[in-house]
Amino acid sequence: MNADTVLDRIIQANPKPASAEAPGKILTRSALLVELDRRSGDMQTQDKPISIEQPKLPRPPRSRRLVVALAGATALVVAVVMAVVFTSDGQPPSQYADAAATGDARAVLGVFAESYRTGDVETALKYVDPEMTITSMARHPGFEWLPGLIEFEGVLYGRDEPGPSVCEGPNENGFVLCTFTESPDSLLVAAGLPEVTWAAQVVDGRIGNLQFPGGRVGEVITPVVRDVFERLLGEYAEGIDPEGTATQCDLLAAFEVNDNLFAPVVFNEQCATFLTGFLDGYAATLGG
Amino acid sequence: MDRTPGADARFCGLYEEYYDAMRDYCLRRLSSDDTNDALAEIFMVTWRRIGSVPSGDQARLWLFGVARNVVSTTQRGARRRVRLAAKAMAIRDDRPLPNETESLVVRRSQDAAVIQAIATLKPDDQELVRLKAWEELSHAEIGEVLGISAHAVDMRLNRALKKVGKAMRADPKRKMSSPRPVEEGGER
Repeated sequence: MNADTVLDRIIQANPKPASAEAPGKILTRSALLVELDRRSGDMQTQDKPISIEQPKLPRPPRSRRLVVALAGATALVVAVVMAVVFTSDGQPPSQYADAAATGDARAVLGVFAESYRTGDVETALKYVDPEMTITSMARHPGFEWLPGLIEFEGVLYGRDEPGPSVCEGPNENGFVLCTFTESPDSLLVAAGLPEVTWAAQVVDGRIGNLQFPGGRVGEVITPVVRDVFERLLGEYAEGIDPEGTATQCDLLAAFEVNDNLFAPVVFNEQCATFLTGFLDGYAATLGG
Repeated sequence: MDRTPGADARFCGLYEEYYDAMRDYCLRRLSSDDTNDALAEIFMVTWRRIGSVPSGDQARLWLFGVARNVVSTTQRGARRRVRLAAKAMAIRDDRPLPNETESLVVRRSQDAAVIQAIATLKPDDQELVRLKAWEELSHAEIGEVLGISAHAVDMRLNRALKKVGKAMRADPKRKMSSPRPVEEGGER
């Protein structure tokens, strides 16, 4: 029984296909609205002061954090990292620094994204709220693992300059957006993604909520490069590091850890060094 | 709670557009009684946080994320109730306690084995498989809801389907003690 057959069996077993009527006990649209109105009223009478003190999250064991980190990092390694590796060289330094210092939201994201892409931890963290969350990782503050991530990428991509960028907003949801134009000969452009957009909610000059471009980039890049990337990475691991350093970066095995992908992400220099060697060689195979 | 006219209109729009999807999502994972509560909670959260609901199709994925959390909380509550009931009844024989899939409606008897096979997966993988097969989300959309990459979805789905297939082969005539089959569209 192959995967398609299994999936088809599961589809057939859908307890509530879209075409089936809902059981009579289920509240209709209008009845549910009445219920919502009632609950809303109940809530107002039960309002209590809300503590502004953030609960302390227990830190998982270090080894577990590392493995979970690698799982969480995979999107970035396959996606964001790709974006950085194949961007153009020689772009000017941040155009946003002065405006960011005044708290301008667009400039804050602009200088943060540029700093992130070049591995400049010190500058990037100046513009991040310690309680920052990452959209789709909202269960945990992002700040805890962000420095490690930037350092990790600094080892990998510190030599790269970001491409030209435009920042705008905020939009109706309060997000400012910074779009980086990729180099015309980059893999991203070849894959149909000439621009990469970061989004963030900025309050008082600091990023409180960040959307990595990784998901969107990964959506485009992954189908294009995943197979060859994984094959080459596997060959590299086998050829360069047969005795186990590669296990520090065993991204594929990290997928086996799937019970808590929202955990804080932590990186290590060994993994970055390992990947640098691979990506240098891989980059040399692209673009002739 | 943001109660500006614009916020009210936004909520009404979301409610109209996604009521069916949220109701079906809950019915695929909970009993009818629990579905009503979960559905109300999903839209209460939406109402309270209307200012942070993303625009466009991202709103749908945001709602799935809320629904996932609400359903998960409801299922934990249901399991606690089952354990409490078992203690209260002082069950001393070897009868297994009902699991969380017992409350699901199954339209055909042969589907029970599939549901049970899915239940052998880790909770996150169960959800991944359901989002793919029942909510018909794309891998990128599933990734948004679960907070992982589309690439991760690819790999985990593939592994999960293999495990489900293996579970179905291992016990093709799995006993139908749970969930119980009912007529399509009927009440359990």
